[in-house]
Amino acid sequence: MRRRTPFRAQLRPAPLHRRVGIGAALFIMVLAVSGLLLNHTDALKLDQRQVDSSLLLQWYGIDMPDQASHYDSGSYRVSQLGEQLYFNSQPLLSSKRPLIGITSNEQLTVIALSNGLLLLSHEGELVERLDTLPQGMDKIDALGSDAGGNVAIRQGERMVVADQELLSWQAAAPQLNIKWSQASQVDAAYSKNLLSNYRQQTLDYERVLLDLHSGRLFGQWGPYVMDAAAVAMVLLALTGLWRSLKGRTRKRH
Amino acid sequence: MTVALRTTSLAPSLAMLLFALAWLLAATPATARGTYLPPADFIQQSFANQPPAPKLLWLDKELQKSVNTILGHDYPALRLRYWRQQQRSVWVLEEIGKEQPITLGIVVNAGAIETFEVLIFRESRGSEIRHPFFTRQFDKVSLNQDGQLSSTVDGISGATLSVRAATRLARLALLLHQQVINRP
Repeated sequence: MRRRTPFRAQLRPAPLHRRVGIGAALFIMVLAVSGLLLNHTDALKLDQRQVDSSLLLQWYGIDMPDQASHYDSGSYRVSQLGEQLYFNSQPLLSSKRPLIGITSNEQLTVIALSNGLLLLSHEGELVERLDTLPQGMDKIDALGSDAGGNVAIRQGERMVVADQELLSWQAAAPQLNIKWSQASQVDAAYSKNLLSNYRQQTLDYERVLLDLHSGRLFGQWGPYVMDAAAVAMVLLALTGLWRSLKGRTRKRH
Repeated sequence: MTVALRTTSLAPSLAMLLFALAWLLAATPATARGTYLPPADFIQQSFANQPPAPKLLWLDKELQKSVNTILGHDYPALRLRYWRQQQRSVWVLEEIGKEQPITLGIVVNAGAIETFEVLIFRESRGSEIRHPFFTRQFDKVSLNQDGQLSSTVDGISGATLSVRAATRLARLALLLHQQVINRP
């Protein structure tokens, strides 16, 4: 029968150093490797690399946002998932304001948010952002265009129409035939593509490594585990030093 | 008896502590994010409530190159609107300080800055640039032959990025003014 090592003997530097080393090896390696990678975030472009692993995204609970709206101008489509805007499936910008509609003419595509307009080229480049609404308006309820392609916006009963370059606005005549942008339905493939894009945009590798390094990736107890690993590193250093000094003293005697 | 004495001696200390806490809370500056002057109002003010019709300046490749030299990146739009009356031009420009765009209103008159004002500040730090002690430094500043500001702008500790963004936009407004002033 194997004899049990007495407790006091377990606290001697050699066994303590060994036990702490074996017990914390995995966590210390995680800390060291993640720390090394984080030290070179810029060189490795970790903050620009988006996570597309569905396992990791699910682990973070990144799923379809509650609010999604889509508008179609015929040739172009704009969608808003949460705060992210997409123009023809490509990320455009982030906006907390709700999407109101889209319209396009020969020169420009115009997207309305409740507090302003985004003017885009047909290639999707931002031409101008109009945050100042026509006098007497403080939000946009609807976006449309008249038969000549002039952009029109409405707040309540008040309607105004812009010139071709959207430099000035005039009150729209009640009889003017304006086609207002309406929310549209999207097919499952488009929706899936958008969701995948949204999820990828939400999480980068720097975030994951930071959470791995701090232990937050493993839930509320994770940081304490990493704290224990850090304490273990200090213990390893102390017991290592202790052993080294003790060995030297023995040799002298 | 002892308890009563202790309670009595603690009361002034507690009162002082509460007073100190209240003073600290009152002294803590509130977040200075916000719209100080809506851009539409700035334009109205700049022309004594009679602004001319806006005009457009398209940022072609050549101009974007010059803009890039000043900002370190292209301006995030293909065109800019401005308001001009004789030798005066008015610009509403945006530049990111640290994370959020800062909106400035700049009036240029005969090649020198006449008015420099922070219209919207969205960052959590650095809003000190909105104060006149900072904006005054841009009065009558123009571009020298190297494309730099004709006088040095003193920084504000804790607002370095906002100061840099403001200085870049001052140079940009002066450059854009040069582009439009000879137009009909």
